[in-house]
Amino acid sequence: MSAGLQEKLARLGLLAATPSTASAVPPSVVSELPGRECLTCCGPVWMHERRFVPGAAPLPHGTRPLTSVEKALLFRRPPRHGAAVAFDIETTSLASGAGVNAFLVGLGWWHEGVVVVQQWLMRSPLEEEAMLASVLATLQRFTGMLSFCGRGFDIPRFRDRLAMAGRGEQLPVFPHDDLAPLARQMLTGRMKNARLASVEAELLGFRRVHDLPGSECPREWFALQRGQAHRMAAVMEHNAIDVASLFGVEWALFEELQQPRTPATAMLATVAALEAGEMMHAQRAANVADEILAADSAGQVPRGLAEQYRRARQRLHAAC
Amino acid sequence: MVERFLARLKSDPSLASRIAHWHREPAVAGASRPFPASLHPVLAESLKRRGIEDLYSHQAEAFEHVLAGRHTVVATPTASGKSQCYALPILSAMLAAREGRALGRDGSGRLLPAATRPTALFIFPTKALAQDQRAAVNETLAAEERADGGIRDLADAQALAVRGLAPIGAWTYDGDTPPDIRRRLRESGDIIITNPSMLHVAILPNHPRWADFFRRLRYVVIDEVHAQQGVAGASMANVLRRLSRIARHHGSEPVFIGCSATIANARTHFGRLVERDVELVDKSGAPRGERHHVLLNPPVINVPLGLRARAVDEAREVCRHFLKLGLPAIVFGRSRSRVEVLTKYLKDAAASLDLDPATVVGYRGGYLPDLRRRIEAGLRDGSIRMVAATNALELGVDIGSLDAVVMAGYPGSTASYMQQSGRAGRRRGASVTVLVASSLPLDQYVLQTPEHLFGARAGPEVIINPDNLVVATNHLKCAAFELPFRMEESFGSFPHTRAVLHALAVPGGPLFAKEGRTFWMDEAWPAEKVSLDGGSTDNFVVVEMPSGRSLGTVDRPAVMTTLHPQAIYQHQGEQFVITHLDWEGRRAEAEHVQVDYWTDAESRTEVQVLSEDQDAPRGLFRFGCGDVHTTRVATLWKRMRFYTNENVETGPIDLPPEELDTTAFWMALAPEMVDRLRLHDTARAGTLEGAASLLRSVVPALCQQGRSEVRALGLGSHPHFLSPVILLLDTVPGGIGLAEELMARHMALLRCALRVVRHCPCQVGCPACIGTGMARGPEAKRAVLELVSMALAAAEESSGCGPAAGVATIDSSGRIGFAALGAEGEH
Repeated sequence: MSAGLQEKLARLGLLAATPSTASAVPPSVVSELPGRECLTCCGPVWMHERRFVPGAAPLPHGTRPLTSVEKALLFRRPPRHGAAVAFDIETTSLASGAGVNAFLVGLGWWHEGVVVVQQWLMRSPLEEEAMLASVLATLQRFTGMLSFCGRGFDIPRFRDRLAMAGRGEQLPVFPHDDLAPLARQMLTGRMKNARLASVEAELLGFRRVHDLPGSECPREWFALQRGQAHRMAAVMEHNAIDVASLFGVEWALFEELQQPRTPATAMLATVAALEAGEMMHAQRAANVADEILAADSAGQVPRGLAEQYRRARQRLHAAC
Repeated sequence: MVERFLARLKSDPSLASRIAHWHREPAVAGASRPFPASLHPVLAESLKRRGIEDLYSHQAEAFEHVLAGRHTVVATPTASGKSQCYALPILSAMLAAREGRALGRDGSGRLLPAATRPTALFIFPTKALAQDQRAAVNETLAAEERADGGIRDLADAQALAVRGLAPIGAWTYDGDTPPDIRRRLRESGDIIITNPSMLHVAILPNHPRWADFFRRLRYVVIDEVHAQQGVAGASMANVLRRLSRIARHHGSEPVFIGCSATIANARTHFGRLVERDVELVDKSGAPRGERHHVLLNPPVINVPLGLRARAVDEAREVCRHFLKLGLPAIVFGRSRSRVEVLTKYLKDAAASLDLDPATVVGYRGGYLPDLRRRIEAGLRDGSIRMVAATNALELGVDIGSLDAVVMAGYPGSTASYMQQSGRAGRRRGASVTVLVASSLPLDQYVLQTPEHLFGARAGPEVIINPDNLVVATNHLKCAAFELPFRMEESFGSFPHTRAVLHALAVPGGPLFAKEGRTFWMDEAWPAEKVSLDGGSTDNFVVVEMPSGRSLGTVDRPAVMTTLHPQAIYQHQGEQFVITHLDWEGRRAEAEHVQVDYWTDAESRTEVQVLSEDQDAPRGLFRFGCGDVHTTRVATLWKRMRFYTNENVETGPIDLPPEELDTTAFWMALAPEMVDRLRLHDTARAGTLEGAASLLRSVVPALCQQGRSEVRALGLGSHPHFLSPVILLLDTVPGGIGLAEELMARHMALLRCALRVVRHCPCQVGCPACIGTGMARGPEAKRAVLELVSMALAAAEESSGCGPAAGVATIDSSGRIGFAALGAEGEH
């Protein structure tokens, strides 16, 4: 292009202040990335598989897959069978829109007592089609989904990407359990914010070290496009832990619900069991709640929960 | 009622003496045609039930064009049934599709498969208009209105049910649409009614969610096309480039339909806006009541100075007659502050006539939306009798029928005049428009040449420049966010597409190019930072203290002259003094005061020439245009007393300067001209300033740009030109095409200017010609006249335009006694 036009664009403030002169580094980055290249029907994509054993971060000792009844008690819904897949993506922006890329997809599931995390990374936007096709194929193996804020963020963003690729109809319609609203309600007053890292710290006693904050991930992927991959491994690590820890958080929230220590959790346990249709559990939880409330009636209870609990008690009473 | 006013106008000697021109448009019978064969029976029945047995000829014409897949612009007068021009063919196509019949072609001439249920996008300039339109379309089709307010089912619900057809859903989609309704309308809306801004920030960037809608998109309707000029027009053209690109991506080629007020170049303007060949429908078949246009020229109250009575005062007197006669009227003022002054005067007038001052209100941009909605409702239900408004009320906001329109000053363009005038006389009866001319040159030009308004091909042309580098580049970014570009892909007819894509794809830029495609590589979301009306997302809020109530907002460039400490901010005819300006916090604090003055401010502009894109030496003149950098700083505030307009006090303003990169047209004078025109010392600056002011004021006669979009400077010397120079500056970042347009038509500009100054009755220079700056006195006026005529002679001679309108010709014919003045000068 003409130097004149370039100058004019810069003067009008339409370009980055000073275009950096660093030229693209040759793509010798492959060796630095964990994982391997896989060939799909739509071309190559980068994949990485990791396994997380209970007892090693982020999964506490004793972490195990919840049974369908346990899940029903936790998520306040009737039990259903089949395996759930944990879902978490990294995007190039927190905004929505056609130009926001989901460059890394992490899926996780229980397999023979360990959590398997499978990640797909598109090293360039040209690998998006392959990544989407491969992720869709893997999702077919499951019947439910587990996420943290996935309903409002990950799934709509991912669906946009599929729509851009003309695959809008191909995302399986899963029952979706989102841990974020549950954690917010159960841990009211116990966390400084409702982010996954805070939940982990509170519930799992796990603090991430050298974790790359999620907000820095987009920058690293942009750097990868210029051939600078040194921190991409950290992005993948961050995403893998996000995925794996969903199972830890799910288990810990369930434990919390089983052994309520605060009035709020005790009330929740009663309400949840009732909504799951587990009357025995509900009665037991109500007894525990009464004990706790007798000892600590001043504990923090989210607005509305006390009312829900009152109605749950009435229903229980009527059923007996 | 109107007749009573007209009679008074003729009989009252004081009013009659002011009449410069009276134009009567006789009532028109209209022309109709039978319903077209492809008009869907449900629609025909619905029309018949309301007593409509045929279509106006222009509606029938548009019906055929639209169904044939031809892009069409309808430019017929206000209240000629323009919305039927597109609603009937579009709904017919939609209803046919529901019955499994294919009706209508798309923009590429393809007949679409019958199985596709077509969708349509209606774009109205404002949210209020979109709301009105939904109601109007529904009424047309005798549709059911549903209680949730979000959905209305179009077409006759019962008739559709009998035929086993699903109703047509038309929805407004704007900032007020709740999220759950948004989802429903994306999935099941047939017609989406929205505004350019929503299209720009919400729909296009999220087009994956609208995939199904875009896949079936067959019609795009754009209303108030004549208002799409300047930055708004250039932005709209670029939003449409993006829309076309997205539609194509999803496999559709929609038909574009525009509605416009009557403008000189509706076909070329709409063609430029949508970048397609378009058909023009401009012969209205609608009947119209008799209309009177009365042009009043206020009397000269100071003969040597040529000063006329103020338009605002004269308009107030005209309005008093309407108040007395009980005729509902709207009075348009040219600026927000003038409207506030008018509001105060008219409330006072109402009180003096024992009328309730609350029936008189002001209406302008910067009022908060709910106040505006309340005023609109008050006008419709008759509880408000008179409104003083800016052009914010000129667009088709539904305010019911009024009998009279008064304009305090010419609104700047024929299209605006016609729109404002069209607010009266929607009924069959007679109506009147009274234009009270101001002393401005353009107003006086219009009074001298009423054919400018009422001629066969009236008015200036609407110009837009979709290729403005700032606007096009910003939208190119938005487009690149929405869909990767192929490097060879075009973006409408933007000539620099490829170059700008390359420039954006450098390291550190927002794009990444790989294998001939571009990908968006930035966390920022471009549409958010791109405003459609030129960077006015940067607003200051005015807060009343101590209550904390928000009074309104002011765009940043206007802050230094309107919100400086001590400034009087006017709101609903009341005065507030600015007590504190928080520049960083974008907030001004104001206290209610009762004072008998308002404030005005002066500013100084410095210009640095960055490039000369065109350079045309013409004898002792040099015409050119190019890029400039300007620095504007506010210097002084002035307190002006109400009614007398007397300057009672001044003080300094200390605020940061406004920097602007833009384009300019210039006319530089060879140093010899200084001697030829006897332009020495103080006379020089005055003459140049006077000539600059004159040229600026006639710009709107050539192209439909408000005066506010041009700034004029006349400088005795300038380091770049090393000579005296007159600069006309575009006030839009990057320039909106004004400089190039003025360069191309500089001879016409000079001719207009010459006409104005020659015919001005003043002797010493006045606001109607060379302004009231330093240039004053017979000598100054002579010098400006001579300068302009010599410049014109030089330009015409070099371009071979035949006998020059030279100095000699003017010498002998100048109505203002140029020859005599000239002779005097030679003593």
